[in-house]
Amino acid sequence: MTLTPHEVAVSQLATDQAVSLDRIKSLRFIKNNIIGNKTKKDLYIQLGIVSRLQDIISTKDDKDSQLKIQAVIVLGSFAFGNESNILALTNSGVVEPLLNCLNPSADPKLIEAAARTLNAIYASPKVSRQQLFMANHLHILVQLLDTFSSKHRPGQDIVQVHTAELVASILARCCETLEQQMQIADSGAIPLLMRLLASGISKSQEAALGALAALVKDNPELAQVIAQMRLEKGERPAPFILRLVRDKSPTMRLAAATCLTYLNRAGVIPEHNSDIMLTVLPILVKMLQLTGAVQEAAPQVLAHLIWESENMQKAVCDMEAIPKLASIISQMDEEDNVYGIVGQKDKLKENSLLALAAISQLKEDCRKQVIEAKVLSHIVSAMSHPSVGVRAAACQCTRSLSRSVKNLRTSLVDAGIENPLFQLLSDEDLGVLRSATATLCNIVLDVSPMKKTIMERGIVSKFVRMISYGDNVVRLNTVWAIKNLVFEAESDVKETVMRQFGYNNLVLLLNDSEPAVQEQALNLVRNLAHKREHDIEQVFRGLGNGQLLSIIEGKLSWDDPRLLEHALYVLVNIATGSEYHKQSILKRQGILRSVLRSMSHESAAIRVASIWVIINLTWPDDKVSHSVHECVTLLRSMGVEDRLLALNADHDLDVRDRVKTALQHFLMDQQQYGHNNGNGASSDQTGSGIGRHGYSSSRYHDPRQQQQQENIPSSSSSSGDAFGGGAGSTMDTTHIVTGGPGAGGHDRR
Amino acid sequence: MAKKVISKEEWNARLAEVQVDRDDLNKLIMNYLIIEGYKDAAEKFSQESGAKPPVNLESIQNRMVVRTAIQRGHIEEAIERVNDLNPEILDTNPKLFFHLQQQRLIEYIREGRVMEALEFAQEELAPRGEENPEFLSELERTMSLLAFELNGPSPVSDLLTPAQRQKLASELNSALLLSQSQEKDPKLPALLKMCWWAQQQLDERCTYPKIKDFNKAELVMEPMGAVGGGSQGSSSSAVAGA
Repeated sequence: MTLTPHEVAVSQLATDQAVSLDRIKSLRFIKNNIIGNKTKKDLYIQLGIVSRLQDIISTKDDKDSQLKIQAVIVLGSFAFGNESNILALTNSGVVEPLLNCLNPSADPKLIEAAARTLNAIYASPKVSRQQLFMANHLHILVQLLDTFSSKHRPGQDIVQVHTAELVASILARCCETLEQQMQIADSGAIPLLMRLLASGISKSQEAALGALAALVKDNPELAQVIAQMRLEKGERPAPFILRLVRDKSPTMRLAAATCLTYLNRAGVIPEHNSDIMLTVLPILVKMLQLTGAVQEAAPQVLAHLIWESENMQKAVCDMEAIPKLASIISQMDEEDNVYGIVGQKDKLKENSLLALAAISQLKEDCRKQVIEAKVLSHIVSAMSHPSVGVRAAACQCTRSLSRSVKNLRTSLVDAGIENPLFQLLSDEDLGVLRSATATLCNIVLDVSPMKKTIMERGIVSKFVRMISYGDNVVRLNTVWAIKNLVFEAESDVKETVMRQFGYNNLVLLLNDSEPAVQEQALNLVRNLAHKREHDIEQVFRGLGNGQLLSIIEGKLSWDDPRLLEHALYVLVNIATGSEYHKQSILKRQGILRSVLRSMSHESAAIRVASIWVIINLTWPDDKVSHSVHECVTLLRSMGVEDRLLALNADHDLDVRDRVKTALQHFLMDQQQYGHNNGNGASSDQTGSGIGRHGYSSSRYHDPRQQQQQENIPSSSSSSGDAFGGGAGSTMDTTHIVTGGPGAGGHDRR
Repeated sequence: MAKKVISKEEWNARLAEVQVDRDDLNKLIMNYLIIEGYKDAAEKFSQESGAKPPVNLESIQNRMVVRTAIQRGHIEEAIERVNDLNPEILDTNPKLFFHLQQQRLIEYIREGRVMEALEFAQEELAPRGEENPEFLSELERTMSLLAFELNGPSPVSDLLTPAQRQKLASELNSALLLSQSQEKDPKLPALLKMCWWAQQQLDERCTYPKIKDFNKAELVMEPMGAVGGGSQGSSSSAVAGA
């Protein structure tokens, strides 16, 4: 059997086979065959070349660096193939010997080749970064950034500069966690990167920007350190980088804009706000019309920059970014149809969708533009895309769009968002689940025609599965959705939901490890126990005898103001119930003491909530019944009336109004039953105003009903942050939904 | 409207006010020599002017060897050189790599090595076309060379001209320059073009001593009223030749 030249070349690599000159020749032959040629790369990997190469680069013999250099280059070329190639390399353990090749006494060309190969390997997020942070590797690597040191030898300059660029790029790819960022900073990389940034060599500057961006991403501490550094001429980095944003090379502009974006998000360059609005934003928007890697990355950077900033979202909208993004997305769908090739441009689609989601996050005007750009059908079909990143991003878009009541009523229904969304609730990807559950919160709002149908499809049984999901955000969004589902609902809806969901699950959520989940669970109780005696009774029974008030009593003793407020409003609602319900509150000294204490809380919202508890407990109807009289007497003996009198001078208008009402109740009681504890002053003071209020016709006044959750309004603090992950990652690592806490804070009346 | 006249004396006085750093001028020239690949001239210039070349002069030599190889049709040799200089370039630039392989195919066809051409197209080029459909039409066009007489007229005869090699050589040169953080175009011609454009703008407003022949760069005062298309045309050709 004759061997192919490729097989011959591989066989010649064996250590005992040939003299080193022949082996170098074989390696060069292989190198020139595989560079640029994916098919040949696969062929050689199948021929088992990797372990041979591994042997060559692992030898301690440094006499013949050419052999090692060529072997390292061949490994690097494999790594430029695809991810499975990279994993084939790392699985045979090439990382450690490659790191060893960086030894400063080695041939500079070997160091350069090893840095290049490592950089290509670390392009895959699936490769562990651990080894880099072990032994002395990081220290040695960082020293290679120092291109202007005394070791500088003429003739080696290109190699050294190139090595420094590759090292900066490696560092950028190894900043995935806070710990890694800190270790790299501790290794002294930052001043060296600053020097590289000011080097005037464009590729070096781009590489330095990449590394600095990765270090400051989601890391305010390092962002602060870097923003406060000085470049060689005494200049701060931010204005210097701002100039690079106007560079003629698009890749430089992108790298600079990315770095500034992260610095800006960390809040460390507030003095450059207007520069970012006037320079960085338009440049990023223009990049949408370029091609290739810059066009692909630009929308993601844009999305990150404008996230949660109403001004910037408006500005980008005015720059016509929406039609540009829409045409990118719709054009791609057409091309997919023509070539039948799916997958090549997934990242561009994902990033464009993320940008649309960000632009339409807060402003209704921007949402309107998205609808008008006729891109919604593409967004909805992207919800069923094979790439998880695209699915998550599309869902993020629908989430932003669903914050508009108008869209909920019309466009989203027409576009058929319900089916794919329901599918996404079973997605295996965490990022997708997070945005899907967040979107769901809005879909089940009262104004949404989809609320009914989605309930009929058995959404609640999905909820049960999702709260056992070990992710805080998914759990939070789920409770939130249920809360919205039962908001102002008829008793039978509430009962159906809770029968399927189970009160045992509610108890779990009320005791969740995450305070935000607890808070929404309390909100859910508040919504369940709202309006009708029957509903209150259902919750009492559902949670078991006395359970409900024990839980509330527990929450009241916590120092968390958000939990405190919601717990108080649960009491407000219970106090509108039957005599039995009221009595169960009054029997609990602990609860009453907490309410009294809350009346002096520093937060006005909490003072108001606690006074509402008093108001509802002492509600007199047409005349003060005996039981109400007992209640008033009890509260008075605890000092409630004195506390109310003291609050008459509260600086908060809302507090003063509620105090007036509460004091009227005490006064009515006094007028009917006589006052016997000698606190005459109070009656004089409040007496005059009473009769005029004429509220007797209204029955139990429930002050501000449990709020519907505000995923919708632009003013709300409810939000998500979908851009936590690094390049290629779709994990919403910093996705936070904080609408709930706001419940009291931004009360929409 | 009468044009404003600026005398030679006044013009010279104004010119004298402009400070031009000698180092900057030297840098401009060095930039031109390096990017255009004049290694020996750059070396001499460096010795005489003291201007330090921003890059290793050897890198110029390397680029020129690659360029010459392409111009001679030795594509394989050029590829090997590039891979020695920086193995990343052709792995990360599929379009350039395709163009190199396409040129190899053209060279096979030019030499009449039909069987080898077919084999090469099948083994090397077809897979690239599968990876990037945008290459397919170019591949088809190249393959159709086989259907025509080599020296006869054909719709694809441009592929056989020296200009085709030249185009590839430039593309490769740009990629090499870029990988070394260098501009792919020298600054000097751009400046001359800008100067020519500025004179054109000025011509509409005033009469002044202008540079008519960029090879000599002498300031010539035009006779009144003699400004015409002819003089502009000549300056334009002077720039092109610079």
